[in-house]
Amino acid sequence: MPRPDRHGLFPGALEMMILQTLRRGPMHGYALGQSIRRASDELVHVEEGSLYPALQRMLKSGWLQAEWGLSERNREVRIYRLTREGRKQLERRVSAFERLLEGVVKVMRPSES
Amino acid sequence: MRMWSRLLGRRRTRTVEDEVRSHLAERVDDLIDDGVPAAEAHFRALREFGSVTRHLEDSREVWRFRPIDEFSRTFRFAVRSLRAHVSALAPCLLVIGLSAGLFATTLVMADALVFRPIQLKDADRVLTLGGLSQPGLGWDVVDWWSQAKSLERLVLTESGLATVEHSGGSTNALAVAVSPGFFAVLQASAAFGRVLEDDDYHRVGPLALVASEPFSRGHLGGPQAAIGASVRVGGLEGVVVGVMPPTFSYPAPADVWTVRRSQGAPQFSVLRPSGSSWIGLAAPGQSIASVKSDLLALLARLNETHTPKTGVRYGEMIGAGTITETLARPNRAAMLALLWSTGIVLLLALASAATLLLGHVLERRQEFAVRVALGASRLRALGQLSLEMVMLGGIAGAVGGLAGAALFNAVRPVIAPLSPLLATAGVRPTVIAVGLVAGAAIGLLAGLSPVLGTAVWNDWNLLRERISDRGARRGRRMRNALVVFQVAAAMVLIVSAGVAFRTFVQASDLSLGFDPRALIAVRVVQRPSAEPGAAFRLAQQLVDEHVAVAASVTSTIPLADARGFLYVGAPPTTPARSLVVGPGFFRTLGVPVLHGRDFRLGESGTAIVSKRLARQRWGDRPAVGQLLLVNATGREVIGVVDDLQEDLEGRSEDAQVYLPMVVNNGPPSLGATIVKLIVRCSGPRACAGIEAELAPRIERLPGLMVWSETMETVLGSKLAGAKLRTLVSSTYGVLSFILATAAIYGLVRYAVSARLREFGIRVAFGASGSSIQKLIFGYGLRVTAVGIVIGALLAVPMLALARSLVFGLSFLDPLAYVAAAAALLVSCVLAAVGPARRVARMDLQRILSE
Repeated sequence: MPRPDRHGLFPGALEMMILQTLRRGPMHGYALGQSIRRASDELVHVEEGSLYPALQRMLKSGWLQAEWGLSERNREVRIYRLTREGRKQLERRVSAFERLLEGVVKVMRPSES
Repeated sequence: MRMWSRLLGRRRTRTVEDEVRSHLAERVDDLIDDGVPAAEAHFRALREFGSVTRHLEDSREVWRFRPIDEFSRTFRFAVRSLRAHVSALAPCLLVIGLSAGLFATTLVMADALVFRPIQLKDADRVLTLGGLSQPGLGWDVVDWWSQAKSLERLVLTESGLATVEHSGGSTNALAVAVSPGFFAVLQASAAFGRVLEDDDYHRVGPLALVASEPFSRGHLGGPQAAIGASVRVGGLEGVVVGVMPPTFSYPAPADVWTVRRSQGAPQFSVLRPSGSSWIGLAAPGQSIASVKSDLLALLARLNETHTPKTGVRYGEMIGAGTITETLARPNRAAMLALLWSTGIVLLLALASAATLLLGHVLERRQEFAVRVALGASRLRALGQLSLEMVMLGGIAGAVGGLAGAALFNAVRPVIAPLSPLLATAGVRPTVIAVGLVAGAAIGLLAGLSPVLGTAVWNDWNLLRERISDRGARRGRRMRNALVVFQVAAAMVLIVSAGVAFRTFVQASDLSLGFDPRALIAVRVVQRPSAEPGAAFRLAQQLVDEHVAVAASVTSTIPLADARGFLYVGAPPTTPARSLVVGPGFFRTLGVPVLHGRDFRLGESGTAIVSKRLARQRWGDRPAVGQLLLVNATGREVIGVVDDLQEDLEGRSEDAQVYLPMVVNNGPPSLGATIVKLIVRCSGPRACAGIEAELAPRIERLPGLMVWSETMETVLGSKLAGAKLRTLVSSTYGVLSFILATAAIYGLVRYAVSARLREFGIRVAFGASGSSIQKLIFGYGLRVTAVGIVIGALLAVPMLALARSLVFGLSFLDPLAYVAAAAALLVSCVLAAVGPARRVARMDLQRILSE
């Protein structure tokens, strides 16, 4: 049975959000967290304790690539980039998520369906 | 590997650390931009981030390969645990190590004698052939048989003991005359110089010779110096052209190989021919059967075309087998017996090690219970225990296996008399590997018993009692049976060792019928120009000049030479060993003339019989004056002498008939005439002097070379087989004694551990410490006694069976049985001392309250 995420997110949600954010362009870890927070209107706050292990997992799976570069503040940071495999993974996850959401919505609002 | 993964892990950790650092710096900058004071911004960033260490650990965890990590942890634990219990595990290590060592030694021997008695690349095509030696054809038989299409090459070897004269003196060596292609068929090349070539067979001048490595080292100044050395072999000039590698010796134990001259050419003379052998290289794709049928067809043609001319029937049989099979055959039965004994010892070792380990693990039950109570899974604890057991077996097996291979090299000089093959045998790495694997397997199998035993413990969390009563009783019965079996097997092996030892002692003490001390046998090759009787005159001269106490001549040297039998007397005939001897033979040998007289010079038509033959032929009637039919001629019996005992194993009761030596011509051998001198000297030092004195005298005969040996040396080599048997069985006896002691020790220790609470209760009810110790000794003795009885009952039929293989075994020797039983009882007491003393030191009442 999948364990509920520490932050109330369903399993795989964090990875999906990271992939989606990186689709817009390469980004370093701190910027990723900020970007997710801003994009969710402060609704999702990604803890660093989850972010970095998740990034390591995705690196290990080959969904991301990382290289050292410079941030806007001219600081050395590790910049993550989506790989082809990561892109495919995102598509799969999004379609699965949409199906799940559709199902959940149907359950929650039976009259509208 | 571990270092690499550590390096890799460190690099990743550093990367994540740097990343976290830049993350925090970015956050601090953002906060400062939002108006937070710098000092507070730093703390806030850290607070928001949480435990850096934990995040780093979580990130690192992602990259970890769990099974390896898990294994490495278990491995480290097992190493620590083994180190902590090394003294408790010492008996077990010893048992596994000893058995693995024994197995490795036996394996190396079996490899040298049976599995790969000759090192050949294409061993299946090299065949030994029998039934081809046909004398009197008047042309070379090798040419005739070489017509066989199924053979690519055919080689004849003729060997014999010849005197080799070299710059350092002269020595007797096994010289082999080989026909062309010998080295090619055996796929052998020289280590120094070259092997014999076809040209060597046609060249006029000295014989080309190839020496064995040990011979070159011992007599020619080493392999390199030997090349080009001039020598004389059996009277013919020769030159050494090559030295073979130490692993090559065919037919073992050959010292020199030289060309076999074609019919009519002078051959080197041998002191004692040791036989001929045919080796063929089958053509590719030809089976043994096709070679055989090919040769049979040639044999039929030989009979058809030559028998009418020569009147000789050339036989009907051809034997063929692979050279490996031929060399292995004589040793197969002995090796089988050895492997069988090793198998029993291995079983014993396995059972001993299992019992010991079971006791060891039971003593550690609290440790396991605590670990399970602290949250370790049962599977994990079992995994750790299994790894510990495998490591224990592996280490002990590897050490024992290597020690066994080294032991083989160490005892090689002692066991070499068993077979010349052992002298040249090498220890193959594959064999060592098999020995190591076997050792590890013994450890693993022995380790399974405590692992399985632990797996069935009902309640691991209980620090008090673990096994149900019924289970405990069943387990105890099984362990008792196991140890009874071990003691019984040890009893069989120790009795065998005792019997072998007694047989050896009996053989050593056997009355030979003559006194072998201060007696030398000299083989003389008389040149054709020597007058008949020259050798006997030399013997007389030695006595007249007081060089020797007594001396005479004979056709065969008792003990040393092959025994020839004659059927004597009118039917029903009696088999008797025949010797042709000169006057004074009995005095020289020290055989008393019981009735009548000795032979006189120039006497013929008479015979002297041994006491046994006289009794067999004429019972109580006097033998002297009787007529005895020998080779269809009636001979007058002029004397009766004491019996000679030439069979040291006492398997036959020899009777002897002696005929007078009329003309000094022994059996002709490669154109030479050999006669044997028997010389009795006043003491061992005088014997050595006589040997030096004899050489020039024999030269004047005119004779060729001298080869002498003391009868004590002959006797020693005859006893070598019995000595080896005693050595082997004693080794097994000692090993099984150690194993049985270890088994009883393991059992008693286990029983004591399992019964601690019971002892506690007994003490609580007033039992004294000594009564508890008595209980422990009593238990050990009961189990041992049952084992001894069963073992003794098993030993009788087993040794009776062995009697058919080893003659002279007195399988009902009571002393051997009593000694074995006593040894085992002592081992039981020794084994029980440790656990009993341990209990004496314990506070048994405290155990109850735990």
